[in-house]
Amino acid sequence: MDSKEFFRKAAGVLILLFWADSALAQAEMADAFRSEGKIYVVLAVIAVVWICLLVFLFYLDKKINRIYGECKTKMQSGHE
Amino acid sequence: MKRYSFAFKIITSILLLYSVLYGLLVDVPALPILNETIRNLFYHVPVWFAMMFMAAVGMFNAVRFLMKKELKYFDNTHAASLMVIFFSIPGLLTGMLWARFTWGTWWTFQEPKLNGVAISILIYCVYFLLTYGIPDLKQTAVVGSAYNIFSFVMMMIFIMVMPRLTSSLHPGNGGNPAFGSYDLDNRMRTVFYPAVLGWIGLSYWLYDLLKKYLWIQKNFSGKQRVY
Repeated sequence: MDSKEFFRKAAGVLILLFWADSALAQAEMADAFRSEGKIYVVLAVIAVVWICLLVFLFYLDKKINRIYGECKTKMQSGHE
Repeated sequence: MKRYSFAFKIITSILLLYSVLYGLLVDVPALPILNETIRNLFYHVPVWFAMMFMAAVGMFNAVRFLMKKELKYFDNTHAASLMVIFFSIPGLLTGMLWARFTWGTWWTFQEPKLNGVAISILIYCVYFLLTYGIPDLKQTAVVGSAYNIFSFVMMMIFIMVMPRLTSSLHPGNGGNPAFGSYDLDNRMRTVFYPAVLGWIGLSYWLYDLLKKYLWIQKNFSGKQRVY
Protein backbone atom coordinates (compact mmCIF):
# COMPACT_ATOMS: atom_id res chain seq x y z
CA MET A 1 0.00 0.00 0.00
CA ASP A 2 1.60 3.29 -0.98
CA SER A 3 1.36 6.31 1.21
CA LYS A 4 -1.26 8.08 -0.92
CA GLU A 5 -3.60 5.12 -0.78
CA PHE A 6 -3.01 4.75 2.93
CA PHE A 7 -3.71 8.42 3.45
CA ARG A 8 -6.97 8.16 1.49
CA LYS A 9 -8.08 5.11 3.46
CA ALA A 10 -7.09 6.65 6.77
CA ALA A 11 -8.93 9.84 5.88
CA GLY A 12 -12.01 7.79 4.96
CA VAL A 13 -11.98 5.95 8.27
CA LEU A 14 -11.51 9.18 10.14
CA ILE A 15 -14.36 10.89 8.28
CA LEU A 16 -16.62 7.99 9.27
CA LEU A 17 -15.47 8.26 12.85
CA PHE A 18 -15.76 12.01 13.20
CA TRP A 19 -18.47 12.78 10.66
CA ALA A 20 -20.11 15.21 13.08
CA ASP A 21 -16.94 17.12 13.77
CA SER A 22 -15.58 18.15 10.42
CA ALA A 23 -12.66 19.99 11.95
CA LEU A 24 -11.30 16.73 13.27
CA ALA A 25 -12.04 14.73 10.15
CA GLN A 26 -8.89 15.62 8.22
CA ALA A 27 -5.50 14.80 9.56
CA GLU A 28 -3.29 17.15 7.64
CA MET A 29 0.18 15.90 7.00
CA ALA A 30 3.12 17.73 5.49
CA ASP A 31 2.69 16.05 2.11
CA ALA A 32 3.22 19.15 -0.01
CA PHE A 33 6.32 19.97 2.02
CA ARG A 34 7.71 16.56 1.20
CA SER A 35 6.72 16.55 -2.48
CA GLU A 36 9.01 19.52 -3.14
CA GLY A 37 11.95 17.30 -2.41
CA LYS A 38 14.00 19.81 -0.46
CA ILE A 39 13.40 18.01 2.82
CA TYR A 40 16.68 16.26 2.06
CA VAL A 41 18.51 19.56 2.48
CA VAL A 42 17.15 19.74 6.01
CA LEU A 43 18.23 16.17 6.61
CA ALA A 44 21.71 16.98 5.36
CA VAL A 45 21.92 19.98 7.71
CA ILE A 46 20.76 17.94 10.68
CA ALA A 47 23.23 15.20 9.74
CA VAL A 48 26.12 17.68 9.59
CA VAL A 49 25.20 19.19 12.96
CA TRP A 50 24.86 15.81 14.65
CA ILE A 51 28.04 14.43 13.10
CA CYS A 52 29.94 17.48 14.33
CA LEU A 53 28.49 17.06 17.81
CA LEU A 54 29.38 13.38 17.90
CA VAL A 55 32.89 13.99 16.58
CA PHE A 56 33.36 16.56 19.33
CA LEU A 57 32.06 14.06 21.87
CA PHE A 58 34.58 11.48 20.63
CA TYR A 59 37.34 14.08 20.93
CA LEU A 60 36.28 15.04 24.44
CA ASP A 61 35.97 11.39 25.37
CA LYS A 62 39.52 10.73 24.20
CA LYS A 63 40.89 13.67 26.18
CA ILE A 64 39.10 12.77 29.40
CA ASN A 65 40.07 9.12 29.07
CA ARG A 66 43.71 10.07 28.58
CA ILE A 67 43.81 12.33 31.62
CA TYR A 68 41.87 9.73 33.61
CA GLY A 69 44.44 7.07 32.70
CA GLU A 70 47.30 9.39 33.66
CA CYS A 71 45.69 10.13 37.02
CA LYS A 72 45.10 6.44 37.62
CA THR A 73 48.75 5.55 37.05
CA LYS A 74 49.85 8.52 39.15
CA MET A 75 47.68 7.31 42.00
CA GLN A 76 48.98 3.76 41.76
CA SER A 77 52.57 5.02 41.94
CA GLY A 78 51.91 6.62 45.29
CA HIS A 79 50.14 9.94 44.89
CA GLU A 80 48.08 9.42 48.02
CA MET B 1 37.90 -3.74 26.90
CA LYS B 2 39.02 -0.66 25.05
CA ARG B 3 37.83 -2.10 21.76
CA TYR B 4 34.41 -2.91 23.22
CA SER B 5 33.94 0.62 24.52
CA PHE B 6 34.90 2.03 21.12
CA ALA B 7 32.40 -0.27 19.42
CA PHE B 8 29.75 0.82 21.92
CA LYS B 9 30.36 4.48 21.09
CA ILE B 10 30.27 3.85 17.36
CA ILE B 11 27.04 1.85 17.60
CA THR B 12 25.47 4.53 19.79
CA SER B 13 26.42 7.24 17.26
CA ILE B 14 25.02 5.24 14.35
CA LEU B 15 21.75 4.52 16.16
CA LEU B 16 21.37 8.20 17.10
CA LEU B 17 22.09 9.47 13.60
CA TYR B 18 19.78 6.85 12.05
CA SER B 19 16.89 7.63 14.38
CA VAL B 20 17.25 11.40 14.13
CA LEU B 21 17.40 11.40 10.32
CA TYR B 22 15.11 8.52 9.38
CA GLY B 23 12.58 9.71 11.93
CA LEU B 24 11.84 12.63 9.61
CA LEU B 25 11.45 10.44 6.52
CA VAL B 26 9.56 7.37 7.69
CA ASP B 27 5.88 7.05 6.80
CA VAL B 28 3.75 7.73 9.85
CA PRO B 29 0.01 7.12 10.31
CA ALA B 30 -2.10 10.22 9.60
CA LEU B 31 -3.95 10.87 12.83
CA PRO B 32 -6.11 13.90 13.68
CA ILE B 33 -4.75 16.51 16.13
CA LEU B 34 -1.36 14.79 16.21
CA ASN B 35 -0.66 15.19 12.47
CA GLU B 36 3.10 15.23 11.84
CA THR B 37 3.89 15.81 15.51
CA ILE B 38 3.61 12.04 16.00
CA ARG B 39 7.26 12.07 14.91
CA ASN B 40 8.08 13.62 18.27
CA LEU B 41 7.82 10.06 19.53
CA PHE B 42 11.31 9.53 18.09
CA TYR B 43 12.76 12.55 19.88
CA HIS B 44 10.77 13.30 23.03
CA VAL B 45 10.12 9.82 24.42
CA PRO B 46 13.70 8.39 24.16
CA VAL B 47 14.99 11.30 26.27
CA TRP B 48 12.68 10.22 29.08
CA PHE B 49 13.76 6.62 28.61
CA ALA B 50 17.39 7.71 28.96
CA MET B 51 16.46 9.66 32.09
CA MET B 52 14.73 6.66 33.63
CA PHE B 53 17.67 4.46 32.72
CA MET B 54 20.03 6.83 34.50
CA ALA B 55 17.74 6.88 37.55
CA ALA B 56 17.84 3.09 37.56
CA VAL B 57 21.65 3.10 37.32
CA GLY B 58 21.77 5.50 40.29
CA MET B 59 19.41 3.33 42.34
CA PHE B 60 21.36 0.17 41.53
CA ASN B 61 24.63 1.75 42.62
CA ALA B 62 23.00 3.12 45.77
CA VAL B 63 21.95 -0.41 46.71
CA ARG B 64 25.45 -1.67 45.99
CA PHE B 65 26.92 1.09 48.18
CA LEU B 66 24.66 0.24 51.09
CA MET B 67 25.58 -3.43 50.75
CA LYS B 68 29.36 -3.08 50.30
CA LYS B 69 30.05 0.36 51.85
CA GLU B 70 32.57 1.24 49.14
CA LEU B 71 32.51 4.93 48.30
CA LYS B 72 33.05 4.40 44.56
CA TYR B 73 29.49 3.10 44.20
CA PHE B 74 28.13 6.27 45.72
CA ASP B 75 30.24 8.26 43.23
CA ASN B 76 28.35 6.38 40.50
CA THR B 77 25.03 7.19 42.14
CA HIS B 78 25.95 10.86 42.31
CA ALA B 79 26.98 11.04 38.64
CA ALA B 80 23.82 9.19 37.57
CA SER B 81 21.64 11.60 39.56
CA LEU B 82 23.30 14.55 37.83
CA MET B 83 22.46 12.88 34.52
CA VAL B 84 18.84 12.45 35.63
CA ILE B 85 18.57 16.21 36.16
CA PHE B 86 20.34 16.86 32.87
CA PHE B 87 17.98 14.64 30.83
CA SER B 88 14.83 15.85 32.55
CA ILE B 89 15.32 19.38 31.21
CA PRO B 90 15.10 18.61 27.44
CA GLY B 91 12.39 16.05 28.23
CA LEU B 92 10.26 18.63 29.99
CA LEU B 93 10.84 21.38 27.44
CA THR B 94 10.06 19.19 24.41
CA GLY B 95 7.03 17.78 26.20
CA MET B 96 5.72 21.28 26.87
CA LEU B 97 6.23 22.27 23.25
CA TRP B 98 4.44 19.17 22.01
CA ALA B 99 1.59 19.72 24.49
CA ARG B 100 1.17 23.34 23.34
CA PHE B 101 0.41 22.26 19.76
CA THR B 102 -1.63 19.12 20.44
CA TRP B 103 -3.38 19.63 23.78
CA GLY B 104 -3.40 23.40 23.36
CA THR B 105 -1.57 24.37 26.53
CA TRP B 106 2.00 24.50 27.78
CA TRP B 107 1.20 22.87 31.09
CA THR B 108 -1.93 21.33 32.48
CA PHE B 109 -2.47 20.38 36.11
CA GLN B 110 -5.16 17.90 35.09
CA GLU B 111 -2.47 15.69 33.65
CA PRO B 112 -1.01 13.42 36.36
CA LYS B 113 2.09 12.53 34.35
CA LEU B 114 3.21 16.16 34.09
CA ASN B 115 2.65 16.77 37.79
CA GLY B 116 4.33 13.49 38.63
CA VAL B 117 7.37 14.36 36.58
CA ALA B 118 7.60 17.81 38.17
CA ILE B 119 7.39 16.27 41.64
CA SER B 120 10.02 13.66 40.81
CA ILE B 121 12.42 16.30 39.55
CA LEU B 122 11.91 18.19 42.80
CA ILE B 123 12.57 14.96 44.70
CA TYR B 124 15.87 14.60 42.82
CA CYS B 125 16.70 18.25 43.60
CA VAL B 126 16.20 17.47 47.28
CA TYR B 127 18.72 14.65 46.85
CA PHE B 128 21.32 17.27 45.89
CA LEU B 129 20.34 19.52 48.80
CA LEU B 130 20.82 16.54 51.08
CA THR B 131 24.20 15.46 49.73
CA TYR B 132 25.66 18.95 49.54
CA GLY B 133 24.28 19.81 52.96
CA ILE B 134 25.70 17.08 55.19
CA PRO B 135 29.23 17.90 56.36
CA ASP B 136 30.48 14.35 56.99
CA LEU B 137 31.44 12.46 53.85
CA LYS B 138 30.57 8.96 55.01
CA GLN B 139 27.23 10.13 56.36
CA THR B 140 26.52 11.93 53.10
CA ALA B 141 27.03 8.71 51.20
CA VAL B 142 24.80 6.63 53.46
CA VAL B 143 21.98 9.16 53.67
CA GLY B 144 22.32 10.09 49.99
CA SER B 145 22.12 6.54 48.70
CA ALA B 146 19.23 5.66 51.00
CA TYR B 147 17.42 8.76 49.78
CA ASN B 148 18.31 7.94 46.17
CA ILE B 149 16.57 4.56 46.40
CA PHE B 150 13.54 6.33 47.84
CA SER B 151 13.54 8.97 45.09
CA PHE B 152 13.81 6.33 42.35
CA VAL B 153 10.82 4.44 43.77
CA MET B 154 8.83 7.68 44.13
CA MET B 155 9.66 8.67 40.55
CA MET B 156 8.49 5.31 39.24
CA ILE B 157 5.26 5.62 41.24
CA PHE B 158 4.66 9.20 40.10
CA ILE B 159 5.34 8.71 36.39
CA MET B 160 4.53 5.05 35.77
CA VAL B 161 1.86 4.03 38.31
CA MET B 162 -0.15 7.13 39.23
CA PRO B 163 -1.00 8.19 35.65
CA ARG B 164 -2.38 4.72 35.00
CA LEU B 165 -4.74 4.90 37.98
CA THR B 166 -6.40 8.17 37.05
CA SER B 167 -7.29 9.75 33.73
CA SER B 168 -4.37 10.96 31.66
CA LEU B 169 -3.79 12.41 28.23
CA HIS B 170 -0.63 10.44 27.69
CA PRO B 171 -1.00 7.29 25.60
CA GLY B 172 -1.06 4.09 27.59
CA ASN B 173 -2.37 5.80 30.73
CA GLY B 174 -5.76 6.06 32.35
CA GLY B 175 -7.61 3.98 29.76
CA ASN B 176 -5.95 5.62 26.78
CA PRO B 177 -4.54 3.11 24.33
CA ALA B 178 -0.79 2.70 24.53
CA PHE B 179 1.51 3.34 21.62
CA GLY B 180 1.65 -0.42 21.26
CA SER B 181 -1.94 -0.88 20.17
CA TYR B 182 -2.39 1.28 17.11
CA ASP B 183 -0.55 4.57 17.39
CA LEU B 184 2.78 2.81 17.01
CA ASP B 185 2.68 0.82 13.81
CA ASN B 186 5.49 -1.35 12.51
CA ARG B 187 7.09 1.36 10.39
CA MET B 188 7.42 3.60 13.44
CA ARG B 189 8.84 0.75 15.49
CA THR B 190 11.82 0.55 13.13
CA VAL B 191 12.77 4.05 14.25
CA PHE B 192 11.46 4.13 17.81
CA TYR B 193 13.41 1.19 19.24
CA PRO B 194 16.77 2.22 17.72
CA ALA B 195 16.09 5.75 19.03
CA VAL B 196 15.51 4.44 22.57
CA LEU B 197 18.68 2.32 22.41
CA GLY B 198 20.69 5.20 20.96
CA TRP B 199 19.60 7.66 23.63
CA ILE B 200 20.20 5.18 26.43
CA GLY B 201 23.66 4.58 24.95
CA LEU B 202 24.32 8.31 24.80
CA SER B 203 23.21 8.75 28.39
CA TYR B 204 25.58 5.99 29.49
CA TRP B 205 28.42 7.52 27.50
CA LEU B 206 27.93 10.95 29.08
CA TYR B 207 27.52 9.37 32.52
CA ASP B 208 30.85 7.59 32.06
CA LEU B 209 32.58 10.86 31.13
CA LEU B 210 31.00 12.70 34.06
CA LYS B 211 32.05 9.91 36.40
CA LYS B 212 35.67 10.14 35.25
CA TYR B 213 35.61 13.93 35.54
CA LEU B 214 34.25 13.72 39.10
CA TRP B 215 36.87 11.10 39.98
CA ILE B 216 39.70 13.34 38.77
CA GLN B 217 38.20 16.31 40.58
CA LYS B 218 37.87 14.34 43.78
CA ASN B 219 41.39 12.94 43.81
CA PHE B 220 43.51 15.59 42.13
CA SER B 221 41.89 19.02 42.42
CA GLY B 222 42.71 19.47 46.09
CA LYS B 223 39.04 19.96 46.84
CA GLN B 224 37.86 18.28 50.00
CA ARG B 225 34.71 16.88 48.42
CA VAL B 226 32.71 16.87 45.22
CA TYR B 227 29.36 16.07 46.80
